[in-house]
Amino acid sequence: MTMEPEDLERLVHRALADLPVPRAPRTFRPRVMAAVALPDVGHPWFTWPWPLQVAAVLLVVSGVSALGWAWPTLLAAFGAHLPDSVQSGAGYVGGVAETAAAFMRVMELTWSAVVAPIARLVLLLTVVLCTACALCLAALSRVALGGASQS
Amino acid sequence: MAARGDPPGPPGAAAFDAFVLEYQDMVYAVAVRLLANEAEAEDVAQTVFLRAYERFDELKGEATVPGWLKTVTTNLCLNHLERYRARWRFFSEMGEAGGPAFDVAVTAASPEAVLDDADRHAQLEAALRALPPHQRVPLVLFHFEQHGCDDIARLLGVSVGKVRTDMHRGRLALRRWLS
Repeated sequence: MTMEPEDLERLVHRALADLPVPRAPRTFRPRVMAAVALPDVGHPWFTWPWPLQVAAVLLVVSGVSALGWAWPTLLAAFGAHLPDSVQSGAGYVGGVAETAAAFMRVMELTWSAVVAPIARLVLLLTVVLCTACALCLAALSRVALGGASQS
Repeated sequence: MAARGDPPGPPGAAAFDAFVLEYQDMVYAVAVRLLANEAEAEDVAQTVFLRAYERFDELKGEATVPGWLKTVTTNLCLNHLERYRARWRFFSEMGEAGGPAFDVAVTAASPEAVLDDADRHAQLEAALRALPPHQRVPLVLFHFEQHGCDDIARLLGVSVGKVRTDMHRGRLALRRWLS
């Protein structure tokens, strides 16, 4: 039996229009609301709000630093009970942690000796320069665009 | 809005909960018909609602909400299917060269058998989902979402002629399941 394409289209359209709308599973809404309750965890770090970004960085740095400070003590306390293979791995981790701790100490020293004394000055200078740039830009665009619109 | 207390969660959670309740079936229906897979449809629908939540202050109360949700759902589903796009074309061409490009994965009952409405609907829905994507997607967009052929061709990045051909073949495949 042949059928014109238009008739077939109408037939299928009627049949599909009669289909009931598929319903979302009962578990769907709780799942969405649970995802909404923790909206930032599943997203990349660079899309988080800046307070969370700062907090995450501080948390990681604090954890690494704490591990670096505490590592020799931990190794002395538990190292003897570990198998050789684990001890060699632990020695490597300890080296990394000590390096991280040393890096943090250098950063701390640099901050207190070099950055902190001039931080306020740099901040003030940055604000003044940004303001001056914004004013210059506004004035320039006003003159340039004003002249263009009048011609 | 639903008459209930604020569920635990971020501010506005109660309003958003009601929002999800109102639109979840619509979003899920678009996704499951385009993707023909419940689990993937749930994932996409969840992503749609998370995007809606990010701009919920702008969206709530707007008359354009259903259209916005359908557009986002459609785009996300097409993106999801994008990785299979080359395969669609491949199988589409195979289908043109040979016989039917798929087997309907439903019961072997004769289409002429007397079925009650629920059975008939289930058979037709299953037949629709069993269509290959290059036939199912344009059919869903045309018959359920009221997109025109030009619009579908633009969305899928194919010619209007291919859209018409694929839809016609899809309809021919569905016809056996229509009384």
